[in-house]
Amino acid sequence: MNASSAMNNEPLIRIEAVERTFGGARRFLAPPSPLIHAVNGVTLTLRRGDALGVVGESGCGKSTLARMIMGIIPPTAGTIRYRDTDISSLRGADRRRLYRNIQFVFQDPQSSLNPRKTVREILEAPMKKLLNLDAAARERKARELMDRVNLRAEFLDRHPHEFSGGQAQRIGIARALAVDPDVLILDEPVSALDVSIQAQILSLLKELKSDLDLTYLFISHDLAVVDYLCEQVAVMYLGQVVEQGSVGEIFESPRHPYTHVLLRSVPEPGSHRPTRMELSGELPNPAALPAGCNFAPRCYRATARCRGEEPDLRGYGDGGHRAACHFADDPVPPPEDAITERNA
Amino acid sequence: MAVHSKFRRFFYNRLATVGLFIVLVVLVVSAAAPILPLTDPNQTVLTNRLLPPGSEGHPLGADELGRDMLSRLIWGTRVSLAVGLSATAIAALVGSLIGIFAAFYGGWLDNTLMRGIDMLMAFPYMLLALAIVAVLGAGLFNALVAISVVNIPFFARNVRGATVGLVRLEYVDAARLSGKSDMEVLFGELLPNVLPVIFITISTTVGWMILETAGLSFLGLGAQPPTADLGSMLGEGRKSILVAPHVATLPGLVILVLVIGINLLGDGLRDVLDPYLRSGALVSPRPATEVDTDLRRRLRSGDAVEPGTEVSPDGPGGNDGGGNDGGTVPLSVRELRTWFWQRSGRTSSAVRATDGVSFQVPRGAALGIMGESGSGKSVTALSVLGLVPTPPGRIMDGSIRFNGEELIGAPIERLRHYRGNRIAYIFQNPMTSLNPLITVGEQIAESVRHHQGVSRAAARERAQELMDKVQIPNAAARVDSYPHELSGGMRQRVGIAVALANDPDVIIADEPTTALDVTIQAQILKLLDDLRRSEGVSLVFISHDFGVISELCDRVVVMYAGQVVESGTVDEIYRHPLHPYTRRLMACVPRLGDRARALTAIPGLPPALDDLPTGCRFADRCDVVTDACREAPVELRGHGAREARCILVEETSA
Repeated sequence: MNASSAMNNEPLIRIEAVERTFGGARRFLAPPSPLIHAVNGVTLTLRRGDALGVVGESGCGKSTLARMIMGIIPPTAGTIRYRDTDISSLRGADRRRLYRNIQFVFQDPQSSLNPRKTVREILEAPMKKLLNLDAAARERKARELMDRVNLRAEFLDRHPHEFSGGQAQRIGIARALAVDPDVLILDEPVSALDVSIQAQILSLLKELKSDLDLTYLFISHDLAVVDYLCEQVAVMYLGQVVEQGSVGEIFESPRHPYTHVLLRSVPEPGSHRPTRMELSGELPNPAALPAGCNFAPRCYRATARCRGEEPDLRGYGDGGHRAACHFADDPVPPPEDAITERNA
Repeated sequence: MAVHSKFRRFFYNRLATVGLFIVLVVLVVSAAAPILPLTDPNQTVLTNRLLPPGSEGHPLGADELGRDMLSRLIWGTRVSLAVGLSATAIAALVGSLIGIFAAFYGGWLDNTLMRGIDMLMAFPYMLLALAIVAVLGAGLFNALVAISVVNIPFFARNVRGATVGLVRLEYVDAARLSGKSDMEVLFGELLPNVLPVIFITISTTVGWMILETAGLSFLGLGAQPPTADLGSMLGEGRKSILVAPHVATLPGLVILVLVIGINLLGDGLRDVLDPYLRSGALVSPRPATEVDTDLRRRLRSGDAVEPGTEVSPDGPGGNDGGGNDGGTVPLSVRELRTWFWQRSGRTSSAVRATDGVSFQVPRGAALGIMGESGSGKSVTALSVLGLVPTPPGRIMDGSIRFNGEELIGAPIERLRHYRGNRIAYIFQNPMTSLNPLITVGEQIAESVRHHQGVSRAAARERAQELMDKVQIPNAAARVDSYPHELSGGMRQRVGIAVALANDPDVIIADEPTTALDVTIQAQILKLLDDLRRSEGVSLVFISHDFGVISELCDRVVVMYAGQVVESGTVDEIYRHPLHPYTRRLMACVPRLGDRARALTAIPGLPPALDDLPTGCRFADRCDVVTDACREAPVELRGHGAREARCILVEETSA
């Protein structure tokens, strides 16, 4: 079993200094569209057997990152490697070969299934195109997959609209598993589902991961969901990773003020604690990012240094905990006076 | 199943059925022309010149060259149809290909193709057709080419429009991840979904194309003598219109009937195929939700909610006293049943969206309504001021009292008076509740002016005040912003400002923070909490998230499958949920810092609201279900100051 533990540290996906901009193009008879850095220099490693959660609020670039890994959009700079292959610019047959190893689960289970296809057609397409399986093998595998995601095999001949959101997401997961991939990229796979259904899918994902020895990159805005499913987490803000490390470290002793705020903002069931509002203001305009630290304009610790000098993502301790804050040596939670008492 | 019901819907449309009949008769007769006992349509018998209809051997008479009119009409229709249909087929094929490729590849290809299409459309199409025929020379084939070309833009534009909406859907990405090539995605995934649009466009243009063919032939540019088509017959008959009117009138009538038939058929097909029309977009909803006539009568005679069905009179909210003490309970809902009537074929069935919902909101209190999608929480909220659309919604039973006044069945003027004034709503997505073309300040001011009748300037000032109150930074400048210029959080603040415009007694907020990020959600929750406390307004807060409700509300009502299954204070319900659904719902939500806890998901799905079980609606998903649970409807029973709809909860347990 020594070999397997060595394999467990093997990096499967290495994202290095990846950037992606949108806009900035010259337009006919119009000023150039504003240039937006959706992803701005992200470096992350996804190791075999890991579940890496990428969290952040809308516009932080987490979905763009996922779509770059899948080759749906190419990065403007940096490299993305799967094992030793640079996959950021694969085309045609090479890219199709990659899809045997990396697959994707989408956010909206209904719109990710073609309404005109039966479940069988949807599940068999990747087996046929990517694995060249014959009809009998495809049929056998389709039934196996349905069983895996706890759906009845009779459903194979139905169309997507006949399923509830949770069932449709099971089909989406089954499709991703059809080629026996190593890595699943999951882009908010439960955020469109009701809470009782969300738990079913999360349990299924946890079970599949250990049964099939999968590696997850899990994109989510819901910290509690990431806490439940993932071992590693990266917190993104305005296109950059501001903090990353093990889920335990990050959620229990965060070093970046934004992580502090994010954790404090999650409403807690059953507690009539004072409603808090640490963050004044909104996301800055991504087309006109502030100088220095991106978070400085909203940060409770910001100093002149923060507004002038951009902090590096530096390591703390030996557990792989990294944070991009000038004060990460001495993390301080949001001050009490930012917490407004209920004037009951 | 789907195909079957489409057929049935088509035949409900009488006019469309008439259209189908006309088209079928014309098609069959003209297809059968070679085997029908007709004389040669081009056989000239000058002795029969301008023979009137009803003559022997010539039931429809003869034209000025003595040719049999019936035979010429049938053969002529055949030619007109053949040209019209071929032109449609060519235009549909070429236009759809242009549209689908332009949409799929976008960029310069889209620009080049669509600007070309724009240029074609810049000419009046009949002139363009004339110009094409003028260049190519007169003749049926050239007329066909001209008509196809001028109709390509209609297909290209419609198909591109439909495809652009589909290209960004996730199933297109998913197909690529399944290893499909561009062509396989285009023709295997997209085309089947665009086909209805192509059919709709065909059904609406084919009549036109037949008319255009006739037009060109009428001008002598299409069918050349002696070939008959409807247009050329009309043109030739025109010369003898005074002596023998039937020669021109008959082909004219055939064109008229044929085109009307095709258009009726096309409209019928479009109603069946177009999802927008199918969803009832043409049915204009009533100004207020319809109230069942029987309930109306009972409300008038004062026995709307029978004493037997009334919920625990000593339960939550203390002494409700039949709405007499509106002083402490501004809003009281009892036994509300709002159903959606759906029609399938000749029978209609009810979707019981809310099925006996009761709650009270005391003055200054915040009541949470928690439930998953389909639990009836939003329908409950909209029913209060009759905002559930009719059709299909109808209030079947219940009582909704606002400060003691019954709102169900109240005249529309009363409801209008209360809407946005005494009772205000905040919705999940402010982008859909705000008008994108009007500045936010103007929208707030509009609500002020409508209910308070103050001057424009005063209303604007009040709007700015309200924007300050909801903590929109720099309100003086933002008052002139349009909704799209604000972030999601700021838009929701505007939504709250609109709600506050007339100092309402009750604010009903339906998932107001669900679309927002957590840090923004925390800001909005704080704002709502402060406003409730400073303004003394009662708040009904609807959410699927118990955490959010915990932060804001005192009491909570848990809904499942259209019913209240439990109510109590937030703390009680959190610490000691009575109903198995509430208990299991709490257990299946992941919580921060509690990763060791296993999630126990609730198996299965909620019951269909048009096919509900007799007994407990949660029985099929419950882990402590007994046979008795399924036998009879379970009532909501009081347990001290709480209520639960479960027979297993002991009377003494609370």
